Amino acid sequence: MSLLMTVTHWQGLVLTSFILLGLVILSRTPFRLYRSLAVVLFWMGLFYGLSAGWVWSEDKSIWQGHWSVKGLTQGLELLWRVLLIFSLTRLYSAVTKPLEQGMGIAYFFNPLIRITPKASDFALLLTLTLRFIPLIVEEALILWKVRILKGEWPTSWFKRAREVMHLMVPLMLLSLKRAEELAENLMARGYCSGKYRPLIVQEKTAEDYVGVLIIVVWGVLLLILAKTAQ
Amino acid sequence: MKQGKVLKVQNIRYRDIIDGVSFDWHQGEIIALLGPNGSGKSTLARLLAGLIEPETGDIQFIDDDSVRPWRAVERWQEIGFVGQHPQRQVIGATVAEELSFGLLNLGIDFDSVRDKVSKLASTIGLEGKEDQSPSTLSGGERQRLVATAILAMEPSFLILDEALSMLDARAQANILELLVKVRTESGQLWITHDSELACQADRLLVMQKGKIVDMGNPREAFRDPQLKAQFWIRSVPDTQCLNPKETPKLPKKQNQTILEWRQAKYESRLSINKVITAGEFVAIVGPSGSGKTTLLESVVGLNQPTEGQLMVCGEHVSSTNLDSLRRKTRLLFQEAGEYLIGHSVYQEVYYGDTKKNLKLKTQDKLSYLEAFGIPARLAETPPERLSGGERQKVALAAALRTQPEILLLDEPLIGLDIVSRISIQAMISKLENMTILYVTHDLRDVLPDADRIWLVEEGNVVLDCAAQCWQEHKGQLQAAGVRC
Repeated sequence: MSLLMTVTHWQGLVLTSFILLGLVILSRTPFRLYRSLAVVLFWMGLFYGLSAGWVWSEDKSIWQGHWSVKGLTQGLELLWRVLLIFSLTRLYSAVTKPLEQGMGIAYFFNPLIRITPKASDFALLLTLTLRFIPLIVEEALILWKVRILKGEWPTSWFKRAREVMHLMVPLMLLSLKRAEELAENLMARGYCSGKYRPLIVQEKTAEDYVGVLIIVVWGVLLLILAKTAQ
Repeated sequence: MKQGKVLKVQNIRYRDIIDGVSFDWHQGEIIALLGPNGSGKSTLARLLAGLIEPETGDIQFIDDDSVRPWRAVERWQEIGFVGQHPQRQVIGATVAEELSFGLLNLGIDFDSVRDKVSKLASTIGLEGKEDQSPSTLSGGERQRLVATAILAMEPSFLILDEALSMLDARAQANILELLVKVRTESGQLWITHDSELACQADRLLVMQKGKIVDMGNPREAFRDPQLKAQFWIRSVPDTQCLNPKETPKLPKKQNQTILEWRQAKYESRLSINKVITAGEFVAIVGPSGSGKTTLLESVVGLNQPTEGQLMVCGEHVSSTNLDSLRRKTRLLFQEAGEYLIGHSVYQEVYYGDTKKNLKLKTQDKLSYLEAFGIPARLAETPPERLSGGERQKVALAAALRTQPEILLLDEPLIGLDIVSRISIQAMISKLENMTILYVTHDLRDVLPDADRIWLVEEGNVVLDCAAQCWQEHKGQLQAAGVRC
C-alpha cells in the first residue's frame, strides 16, 4: 500500500484518508496513539513546505527564488502522503503484536522455500531474532537492576556514559553465552539448512478473508485513480 | 517400540574436565548423575549429546548387536537434551514452532507435523495457545513444552541437565509424569543435586573431579553412611526430623516495624497488606509466577505500588528517597552469580568504592572475602572463571558487605551442590539483627532459621503462619507445589 501511495494523486489520498478513518474507528484504537505523529507532522511540514515551496527560475540562483503557491501545494501533498503512511504503520503496529508481524513475514517466505533453501534459513533467522531479542532484553534488564541496586546512579552525563559502557561488557558476555546455547540447541534438535518452515496453527476466519478483499479492492482503486488522473 | 540400544562410554577424556569416564547406558534405564558444581557433569552431558567430541576414548552405539562409533550416528535423532533454563532452550517463536522444529528436521511432512503439533499441545494443556509466544507461559509450562518438543522426536536416550531444579514441586511432578510415560522407550540421564529425585532412578553415578563412580541402586547407596561421607551425598531430607527454630531469636529492635505494605497493589501481579518487624526471618514460598519475586523487588523500589503504599524503615517509599532506602536493603537475585558486573571478584564485592579505596587492598578486605569461602588468590579473578558455587558466594559477599538492615534472597541455593548449599546456608544462619525475606520452593532450606512462613499464590499472601506451626498447614503448602 505504501508503494501505491507514492503513485497516486489527491483522489487516492482522499480515498485512503477515509479508509484510514474507518480502520481507526473499527479497530477502536484511542486517538492519543496518533498524538506522537503531530511532532513528525510539524517537522516534516516545515521541511517539505520550505524545500518544495521555494522556487526559482533557471537563469537565477537559489537565493533569488520565492515561495510559490504551486510549490507549497506540492509540499502539502507530499506531507499528506507521508502522514498517511505513518498513520497506517502506527495503526498496524498498534493492532498487531511484534510476534505476529514477524511470523507473518516469515509465513510469506513459505512459497519461496520451495524454490531455494536459503529462504527457509532466512525465515528461521527471523523467528530466532524474535525469540532472541526479548531474551537479551530480559538479561539486560537484570544487569540494569543489579547495577541500580549497587549504588546511586551518577548525575553527571560523563559518569553515566561510563557506567553504561561498563555494563556492556557483562551484557556482551551473556549475549555470547546465550547465542552459544541457542546454537547448541539447534544442533541438538538436528537443524539442517532448508528444513525449517514457519507454522501458524490458527485457521483463517471469515474476517481474515474480508480483510484481504478490502486491501485488494483498495489497492486496485488506488491504481485506477492514479491512471485516470494522468 | 525401540528396544535394546546401548551407549557404551569407554575411558573418555576431555581437557582437564573429564578424566577417563566409562559406563554403559541402556535404553529403558534411568541413571541419576550427582556431583559437586564444576565436577564435569554438564561437560559429560554435552559429550554424550554430541555437542563436543572427546579428546581420547570412545563412545559406541550398540543397536541390535550392530556396533557403531557414536560420531557415525545421526546423534540428534537418538539423543535428546533438556537443560536447566527453559527460556534459554526454546527455539520457536511460538508454541507450535517449538513443537514442530525437531519434527520437520526429521523429515516428517508439513501436514502431518501440523496435526501432531495440535495433538501434542493438547496433551500438555496448551491447546489454543499454539500461536502464542513461549515467553507468555510460566516456567513450568515452558519446561514441559521443551521436554515435549524433544520427546516428540522419540529419542532413544534423553539427558536432563538439572532440568527440574528451577521448578516447584507441582511443575516438577508434571515433567516427571511425561518422563515416566516414556520410561521403557528411552534411557534417561538425570543430572541433579536432588537426592530425592535421584532415588527414583535405577542407577546412581557420582562424578567427582572428572571421574565417575558407579554406586548402583540409589536407594541402597543413600543408606550407606561411608559412601555418603566420601562423596558428599545428602540423604533424602526428612522434614519430620527437621525442626523449625524453637523460639524466635530476639531481635535488637524488637517489635519495631521495618516493612509495612498498606493495601499495596502491584498491577495484577501482587496485592499485599502485611507488616514485618525488625530482625524477623520470613520464608516466602509458593508456586512459580505467584508474585514472590515482585514482592522482593517491591522492597527495593524496583516495583512501585499502583495502589496503596509501602513503608520501609518508617519511610514511605517514593522516588525521592529511593537511593537512601536502597542503602539499607540488599537484594540477591535468583542465580545472582550469573549477573556479576565487576571486572574481578574484588571489584564485584567492593563495587561503588572510590578508586583510591579500591586500590587499598587491605588485609581486612581480603579476610572478608575469605570469611565467605573465597580465597584471597581469587580476588583478581574475573567472575566468569569461577564455579557456580563460588560465584554465588561472591554475590552474597557483595550483598552483605554494606551490612544492610534488610536482606532479600531470591532462591539463593538454586543449582548449587550440597557443599555450596551447606556453606551458604550456614552463612545465612549466622546473620543476626538483620531482617531477612527468603524466597524458596523448598521449605526444608529455611525451616531451621525462619520465624514466619508466607505462602504466596496468584499474587496474594494466602497463608501467614509461625514457622513452628508449619506442620498444621502441610497439606496447603504441598498443594501449592512447595516441597516440605
